[in-house]
Amino acid sequence: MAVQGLTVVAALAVAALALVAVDANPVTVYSEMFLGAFSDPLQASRVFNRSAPLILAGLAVYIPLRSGLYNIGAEGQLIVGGLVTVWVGTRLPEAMGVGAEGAVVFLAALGVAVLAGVAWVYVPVYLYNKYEVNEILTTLMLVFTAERVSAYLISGPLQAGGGGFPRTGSIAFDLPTLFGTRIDVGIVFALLAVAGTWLVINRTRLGYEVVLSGSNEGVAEQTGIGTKKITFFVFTFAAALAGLAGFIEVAGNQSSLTIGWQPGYGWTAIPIALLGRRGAVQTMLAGFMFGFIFVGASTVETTLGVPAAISQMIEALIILFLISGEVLKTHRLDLVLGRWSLRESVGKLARVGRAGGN
Amino acid sequence: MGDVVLVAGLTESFVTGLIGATVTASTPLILAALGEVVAERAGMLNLGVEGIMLLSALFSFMVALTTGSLFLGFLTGVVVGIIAGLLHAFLTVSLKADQVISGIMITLLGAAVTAFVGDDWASRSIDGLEKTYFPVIGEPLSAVPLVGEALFYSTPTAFLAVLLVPVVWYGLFRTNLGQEIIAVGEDPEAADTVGVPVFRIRYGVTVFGSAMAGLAGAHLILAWINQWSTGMTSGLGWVAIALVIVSRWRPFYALGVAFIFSSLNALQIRVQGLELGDGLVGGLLLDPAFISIYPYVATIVVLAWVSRNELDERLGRPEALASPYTREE
Repeated sequence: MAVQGLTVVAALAVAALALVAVDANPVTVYSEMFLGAFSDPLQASRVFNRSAPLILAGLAVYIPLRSGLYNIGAEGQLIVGGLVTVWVGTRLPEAMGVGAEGAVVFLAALGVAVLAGVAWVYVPVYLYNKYEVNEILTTLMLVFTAERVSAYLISGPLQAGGGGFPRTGSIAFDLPTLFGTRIDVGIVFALLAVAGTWLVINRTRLGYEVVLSGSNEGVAEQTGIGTKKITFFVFTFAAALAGLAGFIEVAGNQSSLTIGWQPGYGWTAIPIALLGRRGAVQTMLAGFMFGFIFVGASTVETTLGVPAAISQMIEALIILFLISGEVLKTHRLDLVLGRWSLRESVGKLARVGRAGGN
Repeated sequence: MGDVVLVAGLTESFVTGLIGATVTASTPLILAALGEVVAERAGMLNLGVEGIMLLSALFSFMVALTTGSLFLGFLTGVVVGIIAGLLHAFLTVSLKADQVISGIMITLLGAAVTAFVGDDWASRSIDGLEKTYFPVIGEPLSAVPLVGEALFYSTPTAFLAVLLVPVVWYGLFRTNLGQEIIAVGEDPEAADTVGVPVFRIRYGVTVFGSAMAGLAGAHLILAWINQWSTGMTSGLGWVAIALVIVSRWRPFYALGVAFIFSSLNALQIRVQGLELGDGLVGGLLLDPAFISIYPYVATIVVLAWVSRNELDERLGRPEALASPYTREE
């Protein structure tokens, strides 16, 4: 955790320079961002409601990463999950007749969102298992496809009413809230998913095979682990969670969609999974942290006039420091000037006086 | 002047407009894609193109507006690209970080930085690079119906983009350096054994590719749109990456595919005024919002095709794409 912690601190420190550049006091901004939720119940509930889809999306990148595969397309699976949520949420009550129970629509939308996310990832999975088509590029291209399908549906078949600013109708249900607070049930789904992921990865044979094929594919193949089965499993699991994230975002935070509604959680999921790559719980913590950063950024935009893009900047800087830090840790540092190498010289010095040997 | 009807419902001005818009929209794609072709040929995937284009667009706009010099603006765009390329190369070649993650980081960073500082510049516009006739042959040839004006009366950077296509082709396939680049992309270990400077070449192509993306961003704002708005590239960088794959890492194919992709883009705006009717073709496949899906779908199809026929070298996929090279000691 130490490396991850340092990475975040370094990212915040560099982002502070950007804050200074726009005449904002970094201390004020960061304390409002990270501490505001502790004094303001409304901001706290927003943090929970935002963290829920972020954690789910983070897991959707984390799980394939454990088996050495990249799900760069969590954003696409999330968008598709959100779109079908709106589709079911606005059309199903009418189709079933007026007075359809909220719970029925809720469950139908939930199920369809999960299935849609999974369906969206099957093209990359099929192509990967059959022809070894690079899963990074296919899942990536399906993000943009999902974005365009979203724009098409919202400006076309799903649009409610006329007007030059297309918007879908509002869905027929809300996410239930917990104990009279504004925190919705999304966070419960997210925590259950974290627990489920932890159990599967750490406590089942399948999870063991996932991790083994991620750390050494050759050994995994030799011990009879079907890598195709693993690929199929991790992407199905991941995309189901991404679809669920889309459902929670739409049902909990948006309820009707405009073009460009997608909040980019699928991209944030990448630093979340990189920060949490050691386990589901770490992924959850990273998800919460980005929940704080996202909510905090939109708060400081209104209260202090700092552009909310500061959250994106922190996000990018975390990745930057994470990949440079990870490498410094695993690779031996050396200083090379021409033919002279620091490491070699130190090594020679260390060997002086040692008799014989090689 | 009366409008000539060519075939049922298609007027000459519609076709001329379509071709003109296609050529205009293709220039940033050609520039960025040529750079990415060279980089990917040496095994360097740069998913940061979108972010670099955003950064170079904003900074070249700022410099051009404050100094009043378009040349300095373009120079800034290229320098921004070079810096981003050096960062990507340092992370992925020297530190052996993952190319995908590093590239996405650059795109996120570019989007964030430009959204953060760009607001104050959004209300201003610039007198961009003016259109001229192509030297010597441009003025008479622009009289050719339909395509003449689109091809021979344009901005200097648009001419440059098209002229760079044969240059890059020649450089890649007919020079020693090009052969070394391709060798590094196919099998860096073997290349290293026969004395090809793998690390230097990978640095070089990454910086070249990013500089071209920077030029594309500068062109986008200084020679075409002339105004800054947040996220103004709206996915052009990703289309350029898709385009490299669809053109199977070949410069001349890239030119052709760039025209096809940008004609889709031009059509997208123009079909809105047309009565296409309902049904599958008119209602869905030619829907303006739906047309923009094709480049990405085409990319997946081509990826599947080249992977399926992996051993067919003519398809051109660099074998070592996106994999770092560690020299065995």
